[in-house]
Amino acid sequence: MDSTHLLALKVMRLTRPSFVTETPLVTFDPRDLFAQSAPALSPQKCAANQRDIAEGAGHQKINLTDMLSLPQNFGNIYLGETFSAYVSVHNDCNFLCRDIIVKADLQTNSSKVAMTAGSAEPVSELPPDRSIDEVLTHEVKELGPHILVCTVSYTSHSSEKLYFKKYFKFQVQRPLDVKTDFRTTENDEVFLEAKIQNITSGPIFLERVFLEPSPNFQLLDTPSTDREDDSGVRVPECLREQETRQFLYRLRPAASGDTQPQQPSVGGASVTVGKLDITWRSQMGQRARLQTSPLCTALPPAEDIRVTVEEAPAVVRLDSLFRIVCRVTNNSTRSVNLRLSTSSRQQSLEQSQAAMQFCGKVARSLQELRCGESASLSLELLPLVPGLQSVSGLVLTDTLLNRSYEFDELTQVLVHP
Amino acid sequence: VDPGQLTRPSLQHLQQQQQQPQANPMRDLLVRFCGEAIARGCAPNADSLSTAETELLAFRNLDGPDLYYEFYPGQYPGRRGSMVPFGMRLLHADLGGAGALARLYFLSAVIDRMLCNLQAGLSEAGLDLPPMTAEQRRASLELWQRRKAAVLYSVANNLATVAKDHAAAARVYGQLLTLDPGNSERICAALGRLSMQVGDLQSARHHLGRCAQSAPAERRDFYAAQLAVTSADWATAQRLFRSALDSNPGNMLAANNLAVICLYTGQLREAIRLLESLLERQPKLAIHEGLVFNLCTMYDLESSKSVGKKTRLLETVARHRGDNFDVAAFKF
Repeated sequence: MDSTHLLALKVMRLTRPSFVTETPLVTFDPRDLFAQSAPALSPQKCAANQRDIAEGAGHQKINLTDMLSLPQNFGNIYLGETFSAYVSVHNDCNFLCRDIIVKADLQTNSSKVAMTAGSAEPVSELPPDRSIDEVLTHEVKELGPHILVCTVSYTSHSSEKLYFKKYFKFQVQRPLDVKTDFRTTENDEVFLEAKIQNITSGPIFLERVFLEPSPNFQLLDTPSTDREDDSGVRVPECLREQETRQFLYRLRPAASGDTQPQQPSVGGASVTVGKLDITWRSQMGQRARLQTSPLCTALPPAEDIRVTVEEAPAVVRLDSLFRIVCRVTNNSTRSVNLRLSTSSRQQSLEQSQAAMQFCGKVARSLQELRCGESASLSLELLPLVPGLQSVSGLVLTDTLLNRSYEFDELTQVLVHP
Repeated sequence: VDPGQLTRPSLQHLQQQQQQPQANPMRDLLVRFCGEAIARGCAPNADSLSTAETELLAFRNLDGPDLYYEFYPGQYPGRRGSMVPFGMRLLHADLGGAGALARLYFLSAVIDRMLCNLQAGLSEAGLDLPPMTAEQRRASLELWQRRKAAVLYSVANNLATVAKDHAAAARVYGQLLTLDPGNSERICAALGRLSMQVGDLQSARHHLGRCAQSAPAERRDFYAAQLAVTSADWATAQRLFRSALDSNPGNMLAANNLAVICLYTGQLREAIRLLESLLERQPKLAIHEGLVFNLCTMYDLESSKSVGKKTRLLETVARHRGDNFDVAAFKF
């Protein structure tokens, strides 16, 4: 290859060392009938090569040994990992070489990073059969093809200035598949479900999964990372290949109180919820870290008139009255004059089918509400059908514009017989 | 043929045996078993494994009627039960390839039943005869508990290295902690390695902490060095492996591991020197496929003239071990 050059450049990727795994060897109980007639295969002879550092009373073999092995192949490189390589420049000839400069750059489609730390310092002399060694590291931040370009320049014994380049190409792959799902509740809370799937070629351990909320949001609940120990042995926890783990986060818009953030009521605007910061470890503690791009969701459009339930019992008895208290908020840009009624759908249902009936003075007027104002509304209901039932069928009509707003599924109650 | 005289598998010899009428079936069995075990024990590579497997095929599932004493009333009057040695059954299960786990769990289930029978006051086979003394019962219980542990070690090996189900392997080692308490340090160390392999460092620290409790300084350093490797603290790992080696210069594992770590601190020359010196001083101890692989990798990294060095290494290995070595380790 470089037979014309006096120096040889060798590069080896340094993944973490691994434990040597052996194929099972035959071991015999020294008291077995067989072992007595074949002393050549006694456990002492079989155990000639110590595999475990620990001493033990037995002859049993544990195939995952304590012996470390250098990497057996280049392996896979994933985004977020640290690429580490051993670079060695060896003087293959019989003469002294001078002024050797070794430079290593990592190139991608969009960037070029210098990897050598002391690239400015040339080595003044390299005697025959000696080498210049360096371990280079770089945190991989891009996907796709990468090229490690190594340049060696030197002066030969005949004062000739020579140089050569070597290229090493590798692909950086995606290690995790992150899917997110958003749900918004009536009281403006946002739930983020993150599903993280391991798409590397081996098991990984998720060390830390952290949601960094954007300034618009406030984190209320994070998943617990407490581990429950097994009753006996602490079993290694990992995410195997293709396995997925789910994380649930609860957030609230940072704008406090009942006022909605000022948003156009036409359509739902997209808002940034936050970023996921994931740290994981793979074989022998190899560490990696990724941040997702900002995760967005569309909040549901703000309604003009909003009804939220402030008080409601969770469990009620069949055929006995109960009360709920609602808050009616005017989010529109004008004053409204509201009139309460129940849904005509509700009234037209046959008596036997209606799960719940509004009681008391249902058809009445409420006070005038200016924009931003809210009022309390108390309602009485009679449950007629047992089970988990919804309070539905509330209608508020704006008498000024003659516009109706219907509210269904305000809350759920469990009706006991 | 005396099994003790066999030193290399002689298939030809064994085939001759097969053609003769079964004059002494028990000895036949043992002779064959010798061949397989020697083949596997001495040269653990793919070739010898298939030889052993084909040998065992002749016996199918080790429960044919011709493998019971009752089948030969003339030669073994009054004797009952299977002629197959337990070691052979375990070997047969280990060689099962994809079906190895199933065979091993079957063995474990049979042993559990025998232990149940013994504890209930019956014989191993669940019969009420012949009456055993308390001493015999105790000895039998102890024997079968030991054999149960042997099966579980094989199961754990299979789960850890073949099925690659580290959590399941760890659970089996958990069972072994109660079944084989004399080996608790070895088992905890194995649990530590399982955790390190998947990157669960908290569990690794927990297990290696338990090992280090009752271990001498040499081993404490070794375990601490392993944890340092997982945190990529190469300087500390190097210092601790060297300390373990200084406490016991015959510790081949510490020497090998120290050499490997030297590479991560940019000291290739020192790493090569360490391994070469170990091979020179204690060849019988040092010759191991893993160590040879590491040294050959270092030779390849050092210069373009590695072939010569590797050939000389091959000669050294051949001198001490014969064909008893997997040459893939040399990376020719």
